[in-house]
Amino acid sequence: MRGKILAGLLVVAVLGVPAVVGGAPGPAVACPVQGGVLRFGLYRDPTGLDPHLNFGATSSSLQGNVYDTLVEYDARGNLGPGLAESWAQPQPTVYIFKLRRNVTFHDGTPLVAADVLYSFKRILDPQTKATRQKEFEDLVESTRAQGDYTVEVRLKHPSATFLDILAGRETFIVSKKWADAGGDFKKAMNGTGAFRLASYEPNVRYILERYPKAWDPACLDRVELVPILDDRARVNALRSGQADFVEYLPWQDTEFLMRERGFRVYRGFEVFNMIRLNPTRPPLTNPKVRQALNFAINRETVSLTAFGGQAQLMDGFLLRKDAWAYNPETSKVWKYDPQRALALLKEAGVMRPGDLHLVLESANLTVHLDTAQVVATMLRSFGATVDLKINDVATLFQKRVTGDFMMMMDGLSLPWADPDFYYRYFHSTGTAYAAAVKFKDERLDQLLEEGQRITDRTKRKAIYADAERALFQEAPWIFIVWRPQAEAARSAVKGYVRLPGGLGAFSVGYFNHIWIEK
Amino acid sequence: MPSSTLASGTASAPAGWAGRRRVRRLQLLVPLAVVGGVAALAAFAPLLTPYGAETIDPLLRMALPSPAHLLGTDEFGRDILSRVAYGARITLLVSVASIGLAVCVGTLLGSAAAFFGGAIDLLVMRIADGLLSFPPILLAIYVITFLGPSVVNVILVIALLYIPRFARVAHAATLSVRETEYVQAAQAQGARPARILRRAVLPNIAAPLFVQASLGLGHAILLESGLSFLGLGAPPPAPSWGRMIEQSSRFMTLSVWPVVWPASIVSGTVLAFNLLGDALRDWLDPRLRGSV
Amino acid sequence: MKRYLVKRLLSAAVLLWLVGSVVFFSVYLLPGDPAQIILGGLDAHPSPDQLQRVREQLGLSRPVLVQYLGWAGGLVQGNLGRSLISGRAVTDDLSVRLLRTLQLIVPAAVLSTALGVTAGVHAARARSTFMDPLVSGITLLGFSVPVFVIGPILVSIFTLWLKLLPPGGYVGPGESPGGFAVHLVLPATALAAAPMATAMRMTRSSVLEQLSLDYVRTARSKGLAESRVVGQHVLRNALLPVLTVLGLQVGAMFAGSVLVETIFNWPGMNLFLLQALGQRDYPIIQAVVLIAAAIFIGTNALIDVTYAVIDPRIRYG
Repeated sequence: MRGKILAGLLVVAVLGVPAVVGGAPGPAVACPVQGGVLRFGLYRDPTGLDPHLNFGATSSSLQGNVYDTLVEYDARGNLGPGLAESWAQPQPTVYIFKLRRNVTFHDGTPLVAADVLYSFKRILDPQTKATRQKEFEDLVESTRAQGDYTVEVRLKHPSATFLDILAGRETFIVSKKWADAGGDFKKAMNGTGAFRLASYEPNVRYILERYPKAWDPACLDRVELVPILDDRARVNALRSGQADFVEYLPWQDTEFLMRERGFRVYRGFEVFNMIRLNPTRPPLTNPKVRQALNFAINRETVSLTAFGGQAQLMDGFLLRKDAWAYNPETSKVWKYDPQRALALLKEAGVMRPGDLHLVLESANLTVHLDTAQVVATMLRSFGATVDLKINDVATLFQKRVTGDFMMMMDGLSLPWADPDFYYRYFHSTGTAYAAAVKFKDERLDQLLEEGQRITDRTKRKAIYADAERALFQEAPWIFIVWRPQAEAARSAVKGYVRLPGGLGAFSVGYFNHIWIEK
Repeated sequence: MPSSTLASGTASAPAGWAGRRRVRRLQLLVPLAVVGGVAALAAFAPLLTPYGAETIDPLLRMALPSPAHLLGTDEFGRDILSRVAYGARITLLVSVASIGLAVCVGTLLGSAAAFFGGAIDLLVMRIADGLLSFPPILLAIYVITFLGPSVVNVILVIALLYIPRFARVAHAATLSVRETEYVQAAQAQGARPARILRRAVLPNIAAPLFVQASLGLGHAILLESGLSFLGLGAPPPAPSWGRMIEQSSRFMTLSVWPVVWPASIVSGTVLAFNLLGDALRDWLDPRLRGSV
Repeated sequence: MKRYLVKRLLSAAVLLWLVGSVVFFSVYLLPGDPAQIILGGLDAHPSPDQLQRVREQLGLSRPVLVQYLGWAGGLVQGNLGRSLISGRAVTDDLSVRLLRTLQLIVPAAVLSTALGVTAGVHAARARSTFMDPLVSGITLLGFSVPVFVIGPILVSIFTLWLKLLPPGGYVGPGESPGGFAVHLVLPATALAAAPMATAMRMTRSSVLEQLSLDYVRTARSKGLAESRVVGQHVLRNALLPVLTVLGLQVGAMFAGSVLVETIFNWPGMNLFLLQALGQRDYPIIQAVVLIAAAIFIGTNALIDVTYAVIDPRIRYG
């Protein structure tokens, strides 16, 4: 009996290995059906073609199919080879990447080490305005080519997230020759990916065509990306057959399409809704008040009303159950407890909830606004006065960057899978939250800095558990829900794999291994 | 449905002068009754149901009409009847305030410009032309993007759009009386301009103003709900009808009722105002029948 | 005559310049910063120096007056600037998008005028039957039901239930005339609803007025066939004010097209402006508003001049 189980496990392990060592999501197998055109409904316009600027998931849909990174995530969410077929780390701060051979850019030029060096240089150059400029500046000390197919990168200090950054959506490898010859990254795309950008009109249509000489060629002949900003129009496009695949499915249509024949829904929960709190604005200056707010709201109600019951409640912080650093003790702390909220308020010197005068800013986006409305209503029935202010995205953004708010509704997705993401939010220099509102906790700063440098997983797990305890005390946000993110396609569209956990956002709009059944 | 009264003197009404008068009265009274009904809805909103416009009942979302919820509930579990009633407040407030403001300011500016003439006239009318040279909703969107969405801002924007129209009407009317003997005599006697305007001009323009105002009310409601639809109107949770339609139309695959109710009432109210405008025109000034 | 023409055109030009300048300066009052959008919008978290660098690169840190002069200078040469976000020349994109809006508005205007006038004439002629109030009632609904209710109703019927027409989107007539027509039907109908009602009502009252005039009775008593009376004399006289309305309708259609383009995802000039507003892409905002105003002002000037040609009294008024 045991022998059979072991044999079974062995078989699974052997079959599973190719998936891990393979390339991008899904192994590079022969296509069951070669050819076909996929019409994809985007949620927003990709806005920018520059591979080193991140305009959000939608622009990644475009760039991720045309360009490649050195390392990529596989279907299980593990880091695997991309343009680098292997790498070594002889010292904690030294990485040696061996590039794949016979890879060409869409203009025919072969990929060589000089291109990788140039890509790094471009990201570091302030003129480029690269999204990862700061990370690279902090991390990368030098790069060197050893021959045409080997690149050595030296870091300023050890980093647990360097490879995650390289697998990200803004560190694509570009062609030095093309750039030198005057190629304009804002107007055209020249990558190593399975598709090349054949033509486009901003805000209207982007046509991707199969690149036959790709190192990981596609099954489809063509992909047409069409931005459809209106949710209903996008869903109607799928339902009427005008589109084969749409992203950012509103939750109410998710329920409906799941029941309809002929469609398939793919769903993940990698985006979370939370409310940023400004610790410099009374009454939020006292952490107990901020904690009280977290206990005063019923996350179940938010999920039911704003997401049709489809959201996952955020009873802790940003580490999800499937994360290796997940600690059940520190990650399960929030619940709906109005009594506790009242007690905390009293400890903070707020005798009655009616003494709380709150101002909540929100963007005019349904996925934010619905949650904001529900939270505002709940806090009002708790007794506080809440002034809900609606802003358009550009205005909200400005307030966010200048810290000009008391409470701000927001929705974010994690930049990578490693818990180091806490740094960019909660370290006092973190541009994603703390810096703008001058949030600072000395102990937390120390913990996050340590977590960034150490590579031993056991130690880091303990560090981040401590960090979460500190976050509980400080309660810089109201942590609400992980909201459902879904795509839907006609049943004939196959081969789409959603990356697990927080990486789901990376898999949206990735057409490499999609094929269409006849 | 007042369809039989749309054309003055139809076959269904008895011929002769008395019959015309009766039809005309119906033409006026029916839409007036509808508008009155909406106003009553707005005024008595708190008394209609035990719920407010905001009360969320997460377990009873998208419910069909029932004794507890006469029009059912929306996607958040809020009672639709309450929201429609409170929404009537917003609609009536915005339309009456904006058009009222536009009438007052527009008449003042237009008649003053025509009366004083010269540089003032040129400046005021050129600005009016400038404002009229924008597609209205684009101008509204533009200004709201500046000021931020709120009831007051929507009132201001709609007023801004209509001031030039009323100014033009007042301007033309004032021009036509400025040269009359009555006015010239009054001026010679040293009477104050305000008094002259009030006594000579106002009676002259009252009729066309009334008609324009009534039609303007209908347009203002459409404009307000259009802005709400685009997310630029009164911010949530204010139950503006346009926003209700926009939000509920996302859920049409699950239930159409949350859309049907606000859509019907906004169409009905605008229809009533339009009919009222027609009736007023027929009643006050048959000469105007040729214009729209 | 020439003096009037010159005066009228000059005042149109001055007005346009004023409007353009107001718009130019007003964009700087908008809250929000295009530099932030360029660096990635809501999903990015740039540092203050990154933002400052971008502003400098875009020329946004120069004094506003200097930027204005640059813009005005470019304008004279027909250069509307470059998008802050994409770097593309505004003129290129704007002309394409304007064409698309016109491809929507002109068929809608033709539809609304043709149907409206026909309905109006019939309603006037069928005055004493039930047809008149019936047609009036239906068209009044077109006038009163908001376009964002009409649109989804059309989509529900023709797309989701009957599966005959697409729910939105655009296909160029050059690419596929059939595809263009099919995508045009629903948005044009939604857009034409209200103007058609206006045209119908105007025509009806205009025809009614003519029908009651003396010369009609005279013609009838002379024994002329009814259709000749109506066709030749009445219509001709009745249509003059209707033509004015047609001009106004095009203006009104620009307004309605904002909602129609949104609902049906028709990539015209309105959506172009809305997107640019959301992204604070100043050059596009300035250019689109300027062009829209130019069309309006130009149309009004044209109408005035046409009237002056027809009616000499106006020239001297």
